[in-house]
Amino acid sequence: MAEERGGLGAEELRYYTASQWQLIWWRFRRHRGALVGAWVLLVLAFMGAFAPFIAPYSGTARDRDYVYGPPQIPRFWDENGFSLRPFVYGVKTERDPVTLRKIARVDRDQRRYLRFFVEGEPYRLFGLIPMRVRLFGVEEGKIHLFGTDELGRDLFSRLMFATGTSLSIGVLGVLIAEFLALVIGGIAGYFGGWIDYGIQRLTEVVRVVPVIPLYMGLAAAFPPEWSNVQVYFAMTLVLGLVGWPTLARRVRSHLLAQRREDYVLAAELAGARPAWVIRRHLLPSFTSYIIVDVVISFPYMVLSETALSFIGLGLRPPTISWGILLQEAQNVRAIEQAPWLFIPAVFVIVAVLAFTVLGDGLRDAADPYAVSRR
Amino acid sequence: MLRFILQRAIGMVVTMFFVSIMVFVIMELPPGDYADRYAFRKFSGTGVVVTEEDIESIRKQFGLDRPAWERYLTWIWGIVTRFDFGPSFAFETSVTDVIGERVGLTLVLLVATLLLTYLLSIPIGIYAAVRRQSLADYGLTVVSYLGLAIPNFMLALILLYIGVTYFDTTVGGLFSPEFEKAPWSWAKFRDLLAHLFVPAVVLAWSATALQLQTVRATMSDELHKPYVDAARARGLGEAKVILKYPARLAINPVVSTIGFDINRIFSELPIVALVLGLPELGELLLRSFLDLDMYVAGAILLMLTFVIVFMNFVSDIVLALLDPRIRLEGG
Amino acid sequence: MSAAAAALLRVRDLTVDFRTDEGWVRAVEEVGFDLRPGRTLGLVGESGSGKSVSTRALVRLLPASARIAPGSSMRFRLRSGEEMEIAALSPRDRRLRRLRGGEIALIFQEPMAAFSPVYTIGHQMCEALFAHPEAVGGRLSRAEARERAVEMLARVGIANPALRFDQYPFELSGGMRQRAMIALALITRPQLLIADEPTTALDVTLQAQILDLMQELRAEFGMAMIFITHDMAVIAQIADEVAVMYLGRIVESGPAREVLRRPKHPYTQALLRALPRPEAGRRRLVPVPGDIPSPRERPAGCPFHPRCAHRLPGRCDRALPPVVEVGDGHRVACVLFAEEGGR
Repeated sequence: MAEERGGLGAEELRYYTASQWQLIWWRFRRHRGALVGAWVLLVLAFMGAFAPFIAPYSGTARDRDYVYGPPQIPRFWDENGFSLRPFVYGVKTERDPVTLRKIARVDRDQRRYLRFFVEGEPYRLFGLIPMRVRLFGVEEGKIHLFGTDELGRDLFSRLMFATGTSLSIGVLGVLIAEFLALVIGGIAGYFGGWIDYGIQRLTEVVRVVPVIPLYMGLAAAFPPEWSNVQVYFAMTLVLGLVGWPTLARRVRSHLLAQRREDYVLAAELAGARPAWVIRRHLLPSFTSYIIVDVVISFPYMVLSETALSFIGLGLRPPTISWGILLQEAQNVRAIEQAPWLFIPAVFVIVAVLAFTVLGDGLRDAADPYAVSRR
Repeated sequence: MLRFILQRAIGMVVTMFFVSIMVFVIMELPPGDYADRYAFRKFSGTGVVVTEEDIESIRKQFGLDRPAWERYLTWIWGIVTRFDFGPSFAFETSVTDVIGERVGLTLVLLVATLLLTYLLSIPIGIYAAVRRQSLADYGLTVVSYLGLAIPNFMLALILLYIGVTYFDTTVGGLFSPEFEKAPWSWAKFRDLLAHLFVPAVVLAWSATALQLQTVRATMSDELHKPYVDAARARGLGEAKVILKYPARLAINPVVSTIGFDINRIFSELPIVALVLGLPELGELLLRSFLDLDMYVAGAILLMLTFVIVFMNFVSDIVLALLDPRIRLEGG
Repeated sequence: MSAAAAALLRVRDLTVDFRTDEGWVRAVEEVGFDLRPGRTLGLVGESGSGKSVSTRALVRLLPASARIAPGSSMRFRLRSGEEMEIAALSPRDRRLRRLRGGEIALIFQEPMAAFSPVYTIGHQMCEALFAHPEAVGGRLSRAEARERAVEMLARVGIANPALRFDQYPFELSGGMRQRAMIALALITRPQLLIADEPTTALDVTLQAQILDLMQELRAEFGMAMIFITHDMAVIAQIADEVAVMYLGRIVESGPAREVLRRPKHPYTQALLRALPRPEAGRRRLVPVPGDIPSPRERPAGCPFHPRCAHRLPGRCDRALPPVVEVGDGHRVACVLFAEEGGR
């Protein structure tokens, strides 16, 4: 024991000579929750990016034989015997003799076998590559893993497309907000004085107005004749415009705090020029900080989009997002008759949770004093 | 102390001035102006052909032909001097009439929500900090994650679903049908209180989750400061030590963030109101944005923000009263 | 042994362990000393030597992760003449509250941090009075309590005490805060005062004033004192007896004069060599070589042997050295003296 204390073991040597990013990565890896969060998000992002491939149908295709149909869970056996290939039952739509509403009736004698990599409607992957192959489908009729809505549209397919839309809108929104925050917060921190004071007042005014009503006010101004693409980008802009003040405040205070740190003073006293101080001392501590900030603010963006589209002031159909899907679960009747319309809510909750634990993990990993504080 | 209050009061007026400008800009944002929408509303479907001149005359009537700054001044002057927020076309009356009773209901809902938030988060947060790794502590961690992940409107939907499927009741609304249009009475007030619970729970949800975390974090910090041991060393009982010393300071961040809590609650108000069918300002705000009834929307936005700014002012003063360091050094 | 009979406090085999992520760590091991009324014991050692922990154990103010090992004994003679075994008290025992503040008072290193910022000095002083009616002669009214507190503030040399009574800690200067802290500790006339590095945070002139004041008050109130410091010069000025601690163990103890003049343990000698002395002229100060190891990697045998210039390989790193009496009450735990004194 006593002899070893003089020299450093290989493990310790590795630790003491590691770069900042290696240290962050090591600390991050130990955070199991954050790793799970990262994987969940990767899966969600994959779903969103390859939505047309994973989804068996387009987001707007209607199945008139299966309106308000419950989820069809693939099974391997039933009273008619066992099958190695999973199957779902066929369905017929009949009118309820009393209420005259259309009801999907399950035909337990008809089996629809699940197949992978089937030919489906043509689509373009990433909007570019023309393809026909879909991840899965059934031989005849259709399969609705998560059921259908009141128009007979496949919820699973719609959810895949919605995941892509909602995640991408959140990413763009956060990037715009962070960009504005860096520029404006940086200007405030750099120039100080009156400019700083003015910007501070401005951020205070934006921050004091309730967020969602403010979003609503901006979103209400979208002209009705705008195309879906225009609304989509306008939404990202709105999210960015309302989101930056909080971030800018943090950027500014972090910048000011870092500037006052002793190690910056030490570098300046040692004769380092401002450019060197910024590049070697301020930026490294800052980059990790910004990444953490982006990850932490991301759930708010997603939730804001969801909330706005949910109340009809954000994206508009036929665009599909989590909020738009939840719109259909808004009234009591829909919830009563078709509780599976809640499935998108599970996705929202999982995504936000994943981002939160990931953000926490990153923050702990990026903060060199996190260990001693815990 | 008087100077401190005066300073904060001036700051409040300045902030409200900028807020009013921003609100005015938002009111002006949607394409077309009030005259267009007024004419469209009044005459569409009636077969009357509306000409450009007609709209022009409406424009004159409401003073819409004057420059923006002049209209802003008229608008703000009306609010400040006569409490007149302008006309509402959707209801063909003044905004003040439309908003009327909803202001009171909104404030009642706000107070109920805040009470619930603080009554839950402060004691539980303190307890969890004192009893680290207890059931309360772990429960708190889970709740604070869920508080962010399950947005309030989703919680409202879930409660609605539970209510409909298991209890066969709708949990929405602020009044039972028989009291909806009834004049105010003791019975109606009791009915309101009974209905307040679900909306208050929904609105308090994420605010509570956040405050729980704040209270616990501050309390954990304070618990390990030397003055706590010093109080123990004086021979005080443990309960007294905890409540009188660290807990007293753990409340400060709660007081200082009351404005944020109200902001959060107001932010979620329109959506929760939509799901639960609450007749208050948030629901009206949403409707007026959808109808582009911008004077109503502007008035509500201004009022909600005023409540926040005012409560920020109040919390500054309360904080100064609670903490002599601010009162004696910062003033 | 006759002196021990009249002792106010007898500590034997005091051992304190801390629970950590890597298991139990021993912070204090088999510490023992006697303290007679009116005497001052100086506890010396580097940071981490366990001197604060062992005194905190006396009022049972240890963190929740700490455990006083079975077999430890701390016998204290109460004002009533009754003997109390502090180590045997349950943490929730009401007698503990009488002990704290009433019988044993504490002075902390950072007066600013030891006062709550949101109550006035006077409020916190009166609190001690109200908590100990048995020590201050019955329940006091607010006015009486205020009168006593103001009196006490005046006694510790605070000018304009009536004004200071109503002020908050941050409104006082550093020196004044430490005086107020002493006033707060002494207002209940405790039998024992524990001062945990009370002068470390102060500048040198203030240090001397506070030390003088404490000497004076100790004599006036006839109380015993345990004075914790890492500064041998302070010991010389204030202590009657001294105990030198290293890694949780007392390595040398005895009358202060004797230990300072004829230090036996290599560690005590090293500490004294690190001290500037006027009579030594231009002699260079010699720091103690090496760093104090963490308690979790306590060396086998004598804890000091890795840093010791006189270590005997094969002996010091094997077994704990025996405690040897080398003079009147002067004890040292080192193999270098084991032969002479025997056991």
